[in-house]
Amino acid sequence: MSLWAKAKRFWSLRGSRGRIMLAADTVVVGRILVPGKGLVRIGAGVRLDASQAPILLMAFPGAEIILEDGVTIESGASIEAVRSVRIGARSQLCAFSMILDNSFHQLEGDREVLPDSHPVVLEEDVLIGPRSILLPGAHLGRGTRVGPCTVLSRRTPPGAVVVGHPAVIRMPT
Amino acid sequence: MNPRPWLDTLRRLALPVIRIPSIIRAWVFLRGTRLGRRVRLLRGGRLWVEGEERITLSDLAWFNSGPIPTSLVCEPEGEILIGVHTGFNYGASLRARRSIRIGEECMFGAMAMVRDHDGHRTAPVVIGDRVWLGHGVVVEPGVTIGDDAVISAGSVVVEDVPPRMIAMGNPARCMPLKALRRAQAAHGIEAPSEKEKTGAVS
Repeated sequence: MSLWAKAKRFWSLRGSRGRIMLAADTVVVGRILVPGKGLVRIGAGVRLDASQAPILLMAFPGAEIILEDGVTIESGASIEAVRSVRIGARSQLCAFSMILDNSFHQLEGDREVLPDSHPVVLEEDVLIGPRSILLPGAHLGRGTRVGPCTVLSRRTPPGAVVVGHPAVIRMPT
Repeated sequence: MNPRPWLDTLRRLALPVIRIPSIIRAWVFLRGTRLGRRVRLLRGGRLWVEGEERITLSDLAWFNSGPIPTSLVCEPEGEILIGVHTGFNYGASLRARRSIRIGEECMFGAMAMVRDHDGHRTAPVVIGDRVWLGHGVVVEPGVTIGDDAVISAGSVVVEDVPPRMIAMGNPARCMPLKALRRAQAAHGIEAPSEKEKTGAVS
């Protein structure tokens, strides 16, 4: 790794050092914010492209965010984990997509009380479209494609195509 | 579960002191607005403010920090009124050409967008008390949202939402929170959460 590449990486991760361990072949462009005290684990060949807006990887204490080999995350994407979020190998998160494993407030009653969190799992080769939101409990099967601006909180079968809000799950014929 | 409960107690006692930097930060970024007491901008947060003299922030309003700055934009004829203890997550944006009024103790999710003009029309937006707007919600011009309403993540609100309703979808459709709870009870779902809420519909 050249000195210039090291300097750029230092700039990208300023304020987040010690909370995220990058591999030597991780491609980092722009700012990565890792404000939480949880675990962020990154596999080989991950590409974090935050050229337009910073990427937020927020793992609360005791939580873990796992990015497996070959994951691509585009600019402005945010992942907030209270328990666990797993992104499978070769998945892609497009710009400004959002993954949450907790809704952070109760619908009724005391809004300061944290509700239960439901882990979000993305299996291999998943594509998340731009500006889509994955809510707690989403479990995307292998090769699922999620369209732009989709809001999803369910389990999808492998190879499904999910579009819309409310989400419609289709199997390509 | 909590290894050091005494630390939490200490922290709670020290809160008025701990919050001073965020209050100063808000005071710096919101200079020129009509600013209430103890308005807070959390550490590292940034704000983009235009038309400061027509923006009113009540006491205890707060802005979260994050990757994208929150923007409050008020054009020359417009006004923005923000109620007591209303909170904004990062990237929320308010754009007023006529008026946006927000009640007390509302919560705005990340990248929520409220504006009272699109390319064609200009109509005031009124948001009641204790409204919760989820992540990425878009509120169209002329919409009135009643008290205690909840707008689900990613919704686009195009028509009025009555009080104590939950709105979801694009375009947003309303459902009473009470009916939602009854439906959840019928399906054996105990704790109401955002997950079940969307899962029941989609």
